[in-house]
Amino acid sequence: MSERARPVYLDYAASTPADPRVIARMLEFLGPDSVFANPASVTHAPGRAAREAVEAARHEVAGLIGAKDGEVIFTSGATESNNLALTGLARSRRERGRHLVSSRIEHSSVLDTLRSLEAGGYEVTYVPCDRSGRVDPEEIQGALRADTLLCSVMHVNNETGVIQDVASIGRMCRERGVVFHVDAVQAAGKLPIDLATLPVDLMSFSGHKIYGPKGIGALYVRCDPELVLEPLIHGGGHERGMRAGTLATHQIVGLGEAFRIARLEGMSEACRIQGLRDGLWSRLQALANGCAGVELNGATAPRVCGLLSLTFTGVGGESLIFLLGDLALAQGSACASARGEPSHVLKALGRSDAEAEATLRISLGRFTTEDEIEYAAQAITHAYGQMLKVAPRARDRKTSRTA
Amino acid sequence: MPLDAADGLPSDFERWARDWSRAGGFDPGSPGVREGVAGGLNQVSEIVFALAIRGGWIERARYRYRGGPWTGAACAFYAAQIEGRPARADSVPPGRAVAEFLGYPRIRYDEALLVEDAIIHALREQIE
Repeated sequence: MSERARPVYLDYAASTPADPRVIARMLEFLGPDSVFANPASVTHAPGRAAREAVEAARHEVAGLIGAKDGEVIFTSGATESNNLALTGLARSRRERGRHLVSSRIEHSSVLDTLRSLEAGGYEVTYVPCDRSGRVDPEEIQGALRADTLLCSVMHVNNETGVIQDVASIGRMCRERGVVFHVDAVQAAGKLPIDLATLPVDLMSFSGHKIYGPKGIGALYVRCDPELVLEPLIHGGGHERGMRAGTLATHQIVGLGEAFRIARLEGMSEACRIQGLRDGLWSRLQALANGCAGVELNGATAPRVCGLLSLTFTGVGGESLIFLLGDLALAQGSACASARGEPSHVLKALGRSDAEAEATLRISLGRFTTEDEIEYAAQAITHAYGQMLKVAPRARDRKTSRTA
Repeated sequence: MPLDAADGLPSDFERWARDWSRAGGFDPGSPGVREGVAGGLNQVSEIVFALAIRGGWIERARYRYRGGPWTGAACAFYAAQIEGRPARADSVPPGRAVAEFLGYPRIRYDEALLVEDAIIHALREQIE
């Protein structure tokens, strides 16, 4: 394999580059000759111009997801959106109940927030998923109680790409008067989302997963009937009193531009990316022919366009990553990798520690090319073949072993 | 056994992680081959270390492994280190010393210790 000038980037599920159109738009709001004023300073023209830009961006975000402009709250990112949705709702309704429902395969920004709530006296029921990575809506229904305040289920899993049936879960929650939160970070721009019809009350978004900048996100908060979230950050009453702090105009217009591009191009782009993904999977399946096997996690479930979660049986995932130095891909999710623990998502799918360790996430995006996919397929085939040659064989396991 | 000189072997972890010159096994039925295993099928690492022993000396060392590059590097280093040495436990440098020599972060020391376990296991019959 020849070395490439820079790694082939296949970690779009962890972060996307900002689209050049997003960067160009942001630059209009940073320098001394730009629209840099505080958008809360509506007593003067520069401030009002900044305010107009913020509201135009809010309109673009709302436009992609079928929401009203006033239902979009800007945050510092999806982690804050998830924290605000769960903690803000739980605190604002603490007199009504203390029970929440979620799944075992949520992102750590949801699971850690739920653990924090548990430490504060709330009770959480965690619903499992099946071996394909799908959460059964009936399981959710069975977990709802009279004192359940909120249910939180992600739209698309960040490690497997499996799409959850949030429409069915939302209907069940609505029938029971339970607020429904959806972490839609991995869905935005890849799947159609219409909150005018989807029974969802709170939905989280990230800028840097949709070709916008890092450090900005959004939370959809349904207006009708109006939901009140107790703010986590105090000082100024911005964003309907739910999220204080000077609005970061350049970040917000970047987010708005990213959502605008996604609205115009997202679905056609998803088709192209899905074609690349399927091509890569076909090539890797051919590689698996006669070998121990490469298994696709979530193979039988509906999955989002650009993601493959592959378990390379019989070899070490970390060694594969090491050998694939000119591919930028993930072992589990970025957030799970940082902890150095086996992925809780793959464990929930029934994978052993060894299988979870041998699982790589390959995620494609807007700037992925055919050439890169061909290169990646060859590189992975070569590295996996090398590792299999030196891997222990079944007959070796007949030997007694030390622990 | 101290590892200050390490027989002049390099201490470059990346070099050892990519050195598979002694990776693999011996032909089935090869005379004088003893195998030691550490880790396991359901564990994150699994090592099979094979030693061809003749006249009380380790003539050749081979290994198979599943694990991270730290495991692979330790296997490659150990295999190079112990060839031509007496088939005794004191020919096998401690895993900790190997990890330190190769510059492992402390959290990775276990991987060198596991390789040491496999080799000691292979030598056990000789040692006993």
